[in-house]
Amino acid sequence: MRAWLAFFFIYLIGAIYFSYFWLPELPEQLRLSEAHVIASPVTDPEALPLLDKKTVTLPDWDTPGQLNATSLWYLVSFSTNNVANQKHAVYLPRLSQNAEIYLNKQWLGNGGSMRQPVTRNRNHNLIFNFDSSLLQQVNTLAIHLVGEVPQKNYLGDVYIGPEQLLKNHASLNKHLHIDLVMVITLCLLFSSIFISILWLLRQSDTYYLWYAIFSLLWVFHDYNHFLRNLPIPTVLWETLSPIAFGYSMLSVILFIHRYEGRFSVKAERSLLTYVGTLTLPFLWQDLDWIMFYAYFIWSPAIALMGIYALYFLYDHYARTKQDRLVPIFMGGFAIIVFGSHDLLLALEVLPKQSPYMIHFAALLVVVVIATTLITRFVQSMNVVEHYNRQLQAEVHRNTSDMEYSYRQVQKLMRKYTVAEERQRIMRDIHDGIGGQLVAILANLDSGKVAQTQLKADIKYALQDLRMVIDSLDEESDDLPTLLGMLRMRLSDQFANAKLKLHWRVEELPRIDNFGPAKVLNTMRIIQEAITNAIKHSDADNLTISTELISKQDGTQYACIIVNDDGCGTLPTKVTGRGLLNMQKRADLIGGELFIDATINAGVSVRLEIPVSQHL
Amino acid sequence: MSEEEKTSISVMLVEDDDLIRARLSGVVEDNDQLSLLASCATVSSAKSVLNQSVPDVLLVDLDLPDGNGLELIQLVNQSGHDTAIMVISVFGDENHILKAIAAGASGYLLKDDESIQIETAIIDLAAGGAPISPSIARHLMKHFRPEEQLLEKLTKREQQVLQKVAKGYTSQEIAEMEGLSYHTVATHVKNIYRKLSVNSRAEAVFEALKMNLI
Repeated sequence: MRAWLAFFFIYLIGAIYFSYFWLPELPEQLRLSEAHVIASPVTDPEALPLLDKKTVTLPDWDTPGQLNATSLWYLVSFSTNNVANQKHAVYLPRLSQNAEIYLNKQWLGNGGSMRQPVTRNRNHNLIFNFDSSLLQQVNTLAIHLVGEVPQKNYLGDVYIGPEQLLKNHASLNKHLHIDLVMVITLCLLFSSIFISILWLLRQSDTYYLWYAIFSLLWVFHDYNHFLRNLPIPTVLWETLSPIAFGYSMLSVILFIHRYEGRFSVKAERSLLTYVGTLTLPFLWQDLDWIMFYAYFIWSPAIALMGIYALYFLYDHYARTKQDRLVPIFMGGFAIIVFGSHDLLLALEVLPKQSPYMIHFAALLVVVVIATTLITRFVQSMNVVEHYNRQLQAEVHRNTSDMEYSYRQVQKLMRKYTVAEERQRIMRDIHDGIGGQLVAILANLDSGKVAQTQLKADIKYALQDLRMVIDSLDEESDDLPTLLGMLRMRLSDQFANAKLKLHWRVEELPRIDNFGPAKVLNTMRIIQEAITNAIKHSDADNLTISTELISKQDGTQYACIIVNDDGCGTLPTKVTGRGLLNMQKRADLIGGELFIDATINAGVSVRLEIPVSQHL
Repeated sequence: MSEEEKTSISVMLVEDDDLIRARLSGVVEDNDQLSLLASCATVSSAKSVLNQSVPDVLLVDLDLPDGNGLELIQLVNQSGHDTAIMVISVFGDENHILKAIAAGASGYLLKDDESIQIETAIIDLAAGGAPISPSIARHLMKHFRPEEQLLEKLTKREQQVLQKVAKGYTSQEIAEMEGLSYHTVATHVKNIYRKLSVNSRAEAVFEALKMNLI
């Protein structure tokens, strides 16, 4: 805040020094101080009516206004002695619009068009070279001054002397009043283009847009300062230039509103109505009216708007203490200070020869806005980087968390699977070989058992154990292989049976999620069916076959069919516990079991297992 | 008698369980076509016998007190003799059997098989037979998948045989279905075993190369 204040103060002093005191003084003896002035529309000094002469001192600020003249002739007499043989020049550092010079009736030149539209040299100086041979002992310099608005016309200092000296001053003068303003205007134009691009890329940040409009309008207004030949009629130019300035001020307020973020929509609407209404009088396209209205009503009204902007910024700063508002405030303040200066100049409160200073405000505004926007950009980048880092850390942390959780879940699942599998094996051993061994022991204890029976029982127990081991094989969930293994394990029974085995097993698709438990249950169902056929059917033929069927709902079923051509009665044991067990096992594997017994036509056991299964 | 001696199949038995060894020795000795060359309980004693003479059939248990039966299988297989090797197993689970086949065995016996089954199996094996189970066939099909980069691949006929075995068909049934002799089917199986053994050795070499052992 203080730094900004100090900067602003130094800038103000610097601007005043530059505008008023920087240009060096020229030697007093080169200045022409007295002239006769004649208001006349003639274009040739020979045709001048010499009657109505008025004597004035130079510079002459007021006579054109007093005479209400748009064309005046200043006649200056001066004597020269011992003039060195060198180039000389007539130098007019300041004049209202345009002038033409005659020395000893010899035409030296003019500053552009002397007729409508007259070239505007308001901030341009004029310098005319001539050879010293043109000088006599007593000389007459005729200066024809033209300007479209009498009240604004004036002739500043007139110097005559060595060309080199005057040319140096003229070029410094041009740097200060033209080049500097042009550079500032270019800066504004570039900032406008740059910020426009920014806005195009980030259209949600509308303050970029309003800054771009503000600076572009100001660029247009600045042309008034150095444009010599108007591309459009003077009235229209004199209308558009103040309007551009007014609307650029409106844009800057819209910019400030959006930059701050909190503003009253109602206040903004009132401002738009205010400026819109004030624009209407410009519709009366009369140059005198336009000049009067632009300077005496429009400009003060716009200045009031500037004061509102400053109040808005001050009020919000006071409430929020946001440091970012301070430079903007300084920029606005500069516009008010330098703008007021120029307004006072335009209203002729300040002497006419004073320089215009509003472009110093423009320069400050460009610097302030550029600094602000760059700071904002850098801050955004920093914030983005910060969040990026935070996000990366978060992602990293979450990834590790997830990895850890996943490992835990896997560990638990493994534990669960192992526990489940252990339980299943326990159950299998308990139901199968455990029970069988206990029965064998009991038989042995009873002492009544025949050795062949004992051997058969033990063989059966071993067979059962092998089936459990087979079910653990990773390839055992392939149904044909499962059946093949079962066939191999039961090979003794088949060999001893009187029936003939017909093997009709074909490839079947793998069953989803068909683990060891389901494999074993399938084996047991088929084993039971085969054993029943061998023991009870009295059949000649036993056929074991497979097929793949599709049911109406589109589900595929792998089917295993055990079919005999025996008596067709089911042993009572089967209809009881055995059958129940088979059904229970079929349920456990998610399949369906159909047992079809027809007297004298045999028994058909059909197990259907859906190929697509869910866990 | 001496002629019979010559044509009889010499059998060597390596089994650490005394009872089983005694039973198996008995079965071999009781059969006229078979003669017991040696009966050992350890890998080292078996090795010293094998250094002097090589049997027609080697019956070997895998879990031995001083080493693994696979060692003996590899030794015999690499000696270049035409010895048929059988693994003696309690369960005949493919985990054990496949390893033994890869090492060079071409069959297995279950320890509780009936005497007659044991005799038949030994004679069949010596005559060029090669028993195979559906589960082993399924595992072999997986091993010889077309997309695997293998030194030895299966012929179409061998693939057909494996597919049939995997579905539970016996060698006789396959021979009938394919219009082959039983002997030819056995030769196919034996060839498949040989190819597995070659591939396994190649894999072992490859693994060793990878581990800079060679």
